[in-house]
Amino acid sequence: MAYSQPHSRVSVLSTSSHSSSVEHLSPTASTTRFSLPSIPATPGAPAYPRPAGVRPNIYDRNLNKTRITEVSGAAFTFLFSEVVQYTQKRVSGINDLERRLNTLGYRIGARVLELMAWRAEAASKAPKREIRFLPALMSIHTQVWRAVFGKPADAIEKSVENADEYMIIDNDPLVERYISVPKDMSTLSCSSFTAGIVEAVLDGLGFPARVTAHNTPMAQFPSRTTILIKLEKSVLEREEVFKG
Amino acid sequence: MSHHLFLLSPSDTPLYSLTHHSSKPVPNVSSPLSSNLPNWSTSAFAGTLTALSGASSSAHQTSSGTVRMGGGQDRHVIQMIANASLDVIEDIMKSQSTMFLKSVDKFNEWTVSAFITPGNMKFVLLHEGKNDDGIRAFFTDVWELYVKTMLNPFHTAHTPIRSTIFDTRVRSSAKKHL
Amino acid sequence: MAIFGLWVINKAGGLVYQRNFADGLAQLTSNEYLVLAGTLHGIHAITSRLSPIGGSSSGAQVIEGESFKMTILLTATATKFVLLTSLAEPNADNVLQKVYEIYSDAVMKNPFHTPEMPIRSEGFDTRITALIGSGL
Repeated sequence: MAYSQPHSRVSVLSTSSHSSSVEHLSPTASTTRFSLPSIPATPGAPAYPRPAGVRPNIYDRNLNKTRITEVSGAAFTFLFSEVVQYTQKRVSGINDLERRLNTLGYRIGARVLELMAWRAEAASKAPKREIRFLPALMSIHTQVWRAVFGKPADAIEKSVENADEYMIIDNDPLVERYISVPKDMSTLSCSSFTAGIVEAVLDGLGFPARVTAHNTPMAQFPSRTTILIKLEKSVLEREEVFKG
Repeated sequence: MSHHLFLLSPSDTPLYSLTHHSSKPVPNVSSPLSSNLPNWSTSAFAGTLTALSGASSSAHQTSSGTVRMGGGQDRHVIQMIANASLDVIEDIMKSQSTMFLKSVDKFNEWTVSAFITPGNMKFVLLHEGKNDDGIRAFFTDVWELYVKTMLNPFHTAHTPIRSTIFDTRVRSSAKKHL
Repeated sequence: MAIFGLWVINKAGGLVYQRNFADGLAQLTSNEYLVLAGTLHGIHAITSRLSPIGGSSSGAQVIEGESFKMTILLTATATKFVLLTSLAEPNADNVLQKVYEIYSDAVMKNPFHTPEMPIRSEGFDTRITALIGSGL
């Protein structure tokens, strides 16, 4: 490290988070080690040369780099299958299982919301948030679904009986594509995970709601799923204020 | 001239704070309250009251005998001003869709600007001068750094941010823009 | 050209899936199928040891009778897919490859399936039906 160097004081200023022993061997390192940390000209690009094989710190990475990259579908389904199995061993019933899947999805949703909005708005001079409910619901149906599943959802419906209920419908949910729920658990919907994502996005935008997933199969879409959104009263009141 | 930044979780818990002293000169702000203020020297809250009044350069002899500096630079006063501005911010963010809310609140020499992320994180900045573009650029940088922090699987919207890299990056952005 | 039936045999020789698609073979009870699968497992073990070139071989691939043949696909994890067809059926190998693919998707990715246990997955049934036909 720096001890052997004549001006060791100066090297304290280096913020290198990478393995310094590797950097030490590299001939280009000596110039960077004694320079002040500077904000890279392009946000996210590494400020100094990095030895191959070392993953850059998240703060050094460009958030747009993975915007269009795709994740292996098989890797995801195997992971999700393990998630369900792991969760199933630790719960007392179907409701509990759905609740836990929802919680896991919530953690994804909170991140998806921030990242998606950043990618859409960061370049804008006056970035905007969604403050009306229906446009927010539309953007979940289209943007969130596209960001997470690579395709928009199939429909949005509004409950006829209850003013506070909305539904997002997916005819062939990606998370359930290879899942066959046993007959004795027929009420279980693994899309509770997706419901958690939706709940987090709504919550973040300021529309607190209870979001659940339900199997609503149709002849041509056996795994058709309805994500049911039950809004809190405050959301409806707020929307009334906007209308007035 | 100093700046105070607070990152507040959706439930208004502070997750990160930063005080930045920039080399730019302090604009002269007159404080209307300070002139007609009685002498509070016997009160234990003298420092706070002086600070709230905006008498920025007076020293006080408190009952315990120690000298406190007022002037709105006390840590607890800064925090109080930041907290007080939350009411205004929450009112505005319900009806206004822009993330960057410039000069939402004023208190003596302090102006409060805020940035609301889509996930309802609030960035609150107390500043003295007017520097809209700089503040906007600073908030944009902090937003990006926050999104990156959020991508850490061990981070939740309610976890205090202790990353030193985050801190370094925020500081250098402050140096650049404020 | 007809596909009579499909068996899936786990690595211990247990029959984990059995389904008939067309008439043409004798109807057996489920117990008999279990015994036959176990026997086939044993025969397959013998054939894989009998290889004239040293070392292990993949064992029997096709067993032909007078009126039918059985085509065997052995996977890397020692699961066997057996397709019972008419002698003239030219597609047995292709069908088995597709069955293997469906098995990987609808069985192995299903969180409610326990490895080496009988396959009770609606998704597997539907996809096999789509591939081979509705059956009996």
